[in-house]
Amino acid sequence: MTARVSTVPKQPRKGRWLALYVLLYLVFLYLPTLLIPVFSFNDSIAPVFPLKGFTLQWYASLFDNPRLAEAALNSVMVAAIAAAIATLVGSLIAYADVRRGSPLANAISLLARLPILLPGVVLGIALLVGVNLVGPGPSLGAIVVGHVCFCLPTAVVVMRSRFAAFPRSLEEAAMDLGANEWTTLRRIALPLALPGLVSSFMLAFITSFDEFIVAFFLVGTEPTLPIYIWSQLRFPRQLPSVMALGSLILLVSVLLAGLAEMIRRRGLKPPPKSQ
Amino acid sequence: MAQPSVVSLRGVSKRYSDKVLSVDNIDLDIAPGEFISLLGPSGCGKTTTLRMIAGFEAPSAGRILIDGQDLTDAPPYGRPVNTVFQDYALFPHLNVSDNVGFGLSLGRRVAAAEARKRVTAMLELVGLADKARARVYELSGGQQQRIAMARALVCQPRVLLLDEPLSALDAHLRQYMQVELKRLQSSLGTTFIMVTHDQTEALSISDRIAVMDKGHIEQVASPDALYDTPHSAFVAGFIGASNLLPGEVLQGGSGSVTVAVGALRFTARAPVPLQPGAAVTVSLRPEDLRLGHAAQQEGSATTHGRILQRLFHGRALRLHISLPGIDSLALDVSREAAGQHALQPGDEIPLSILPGAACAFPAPAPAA
Repeated sequence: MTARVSTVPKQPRKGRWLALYVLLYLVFLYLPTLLIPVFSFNDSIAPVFPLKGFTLQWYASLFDNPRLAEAALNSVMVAAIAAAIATLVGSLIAYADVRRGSPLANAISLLARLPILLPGVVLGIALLVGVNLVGPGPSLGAIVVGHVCFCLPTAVVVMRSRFAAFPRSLEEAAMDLGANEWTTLRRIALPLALPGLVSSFMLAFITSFDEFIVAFFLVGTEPTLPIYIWSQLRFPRQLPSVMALGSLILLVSVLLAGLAEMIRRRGLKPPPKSQ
Repeated sequence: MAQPSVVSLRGVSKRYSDKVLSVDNIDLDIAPGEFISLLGPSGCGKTTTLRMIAGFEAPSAGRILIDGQDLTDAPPYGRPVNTVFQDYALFPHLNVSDNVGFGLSLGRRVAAAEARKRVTAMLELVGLADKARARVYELSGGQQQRIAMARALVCQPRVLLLDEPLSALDAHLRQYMQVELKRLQSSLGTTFIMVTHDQTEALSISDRIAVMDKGHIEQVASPDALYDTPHSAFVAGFIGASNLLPGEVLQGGSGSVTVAVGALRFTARAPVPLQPGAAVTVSLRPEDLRLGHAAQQEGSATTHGRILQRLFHGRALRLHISLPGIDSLALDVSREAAGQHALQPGDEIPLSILPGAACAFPAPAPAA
């Protein structure tokens, strides 16, 4: 590898405008989100400036709210199950698509990715009609089904690019050296696909965890966390608690996404040569 | 063949769709300890043939025997062959010694201590014992190539299959690795089957070469025999450099015929019997033409040509010349022989064709 040498002289004026643009972009993108943690520590019910004082009472209130805990637990369960199913099914579809390449596998893979274009409202109504006809009706189980449909495209896309990232000859080499199909999957394909599996699971988990529209159509008597939060917004007194909750979800989401990205990068690129 | 073959292909064909016949009814017997190359242009079916021997592709027809056993339907892991892949296919998540030891770690075929010993010995054989703990991406291309060889050879296969093993290396390293390949093969005595499109590579290190074209094997012979007595115009044109000229048979026969090419008449060898009047393709190697007028003898031809182009090739000059009735003919002149002549484009030079230097084949090739 030869180092690339830039022959273009630096243009400080152009750079300054670019910096300003980037700054504005970041402010518009992230400032509203940052207001939530700020108000979650504010000792006032109304989310307005000036701030009144620092308090942890909204966070404390989260911990003696059994209905909130239930909703959070529901969401974790739904997200974990939906993400696991989506990742498992998605990687099988992606593997068949990338490795076998039969017209049927390609068609299935395309169908599995199409719901990315489907509006959540349409998917929600369709599934509601569906679970009323053949299933248990609106319930957490119905939400799991909905979220699998919702997360499957992401899982297939992530796993397709992961499987395409290492050549088929690696699996052929393993079989050539004496490994049967199962050993090849266990010792070569899975370890190489692992970063993809983890990041696919995490992405699907986050997507399901804060999904609202599909869940709204399919919810029965037990709410998920976003449904619970939405129901609490009718009571102004609950707003600061919701903001505290939102801050926690934000923190966990950022940590999970960062972790997923770290794992994905570690899997894609070997560390640079030390010489 | 005196010895039983280690690999036998019996009427093997591979059809990918209804129209494309990638490999067409191939018969080939490979002797133990032989270094054989499958040589041909891209798309000739050589890689498909190798992949069928390895078990990655199933033949559409025919049988594949290894050590006399019919293994046509055996999976890749059920065959006593190992492959060196074109892209090496080293496992990126394992270090060098785990890559080399992969085959030995499966199914408890050898004890762990024995496996370690064999991995170490194999790494020493390929000269990379100090890299045992290295990650594979820390190695250079040539080192990765040798690890791929070591990983396949440590399983002690009956046959080693090599798919364009040196194509990713630069020219200098490739020449070095050719010698290295030959050394490994003779010290281990393993049968090597190598796929290549590089005729120089095939000629320099193979015991025998199977020249393939359009799914057929055109000729199987030693490098010398292929070079000196090609059986078809395709082989003559593919092995070494050759002028392929259209001509006509004046006096027929088997073994030797008199041909007319442009205004020239001379004697050519004929591997296939030819009738007078038959249209032929005459193959004439650039080094078979002599500068100057040789002593007249039966079946030789002398003429004059005009130099069109002069290419410097180190030990020799290659001249492209035009003759009466022939647009362009390549001719190699050693620098000693060139000494007396100016040999600049536009010059007229005397030329001779010695009897029996050329080969005549029925046109259009190939013949059955």
